[in-house]
Amino acid sequence: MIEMKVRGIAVDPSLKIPMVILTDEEEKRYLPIPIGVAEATAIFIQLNEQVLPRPMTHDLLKDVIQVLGAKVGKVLINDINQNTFFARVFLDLPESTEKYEIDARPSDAIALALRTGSPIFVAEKVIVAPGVTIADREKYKEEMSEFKKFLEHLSPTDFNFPGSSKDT
Amino acid sequence: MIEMKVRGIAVNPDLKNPMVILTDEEEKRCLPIWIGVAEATAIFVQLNDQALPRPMTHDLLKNVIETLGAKVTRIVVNDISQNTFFAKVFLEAPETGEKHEIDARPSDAIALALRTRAPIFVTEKVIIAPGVTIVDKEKYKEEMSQFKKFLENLSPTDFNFPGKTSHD
Repeated sequence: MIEMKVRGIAVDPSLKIPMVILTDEEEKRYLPIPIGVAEATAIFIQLNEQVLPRPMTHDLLKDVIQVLGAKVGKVLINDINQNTFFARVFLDLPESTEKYEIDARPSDAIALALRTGSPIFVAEKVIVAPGVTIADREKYKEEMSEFKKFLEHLSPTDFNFPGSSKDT
Repeated sequence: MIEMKVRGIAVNPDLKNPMVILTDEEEKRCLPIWIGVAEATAIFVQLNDQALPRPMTHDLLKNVIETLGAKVTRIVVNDISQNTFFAKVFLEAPETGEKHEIDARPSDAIALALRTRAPIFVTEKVIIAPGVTIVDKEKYKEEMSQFKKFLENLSPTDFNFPGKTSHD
């Protein structure tokens, strides 16, 4: 199990789907995980420390955990099976010393970890899976800048923020 | 404060933004609330009892609340200001008797209420706000069927489910 950090969000040019890119401390190994657009946005906003007027879904998740007196101890990308990545969110209840593990998609686990300042771990099994980790930095730099362009062309209404129309 | 139920998801033909439609028991009053596509999908999937292979973000939220021994007792769409709706999620921890109120967007609160079978309330202030509630059922029936068509034309990869491409 190694600790990784979020390097950024990229778009796979052939599949046109966003990916979150994890990397180890020395940036030797890169782990790209394909995710949905909503989850990519949730990660991107937090990485860029954008402050939004209303709580997004992962902010609500963070608020619920805090209000119930729990803490996110860590998140772990623990498995990959038929191209689907799996993750676990580890919750601690400081008062009771009880620990809980909850099944999650890596995208949700990472969006949450960034908001709670929790470490992100990846199981050895996932790192060594064929074709999973890559070390081609230039390729992902390129793809990350494409995603930034994609986001720049979105309008406020795409994000459901107060703007020209009503929203939640 | 009156209890309302989710009548469905609709798309406003001019703005192309989805709305969640709440109605009172007798379906006399309809309250349309503009929401994002991701949140509309989260509500739609639950309304239609679709079982997905992996937990979506609101499923994770529900699992976290249940794991920490709490319950969603109700959600309230409690305010509207400058065309933005506000909601509160009410949590109760039965063991400790603690009660909590958490600020949320109505879309997240409703997606969570449907998953936890918690009642949905709307304050009088929101109901009587100018232009908020409508009683034109036929118009919304039409828009709801448009949203169903929109969803039918989406491919699995749009939703980040296991399909021909990898994802988390």
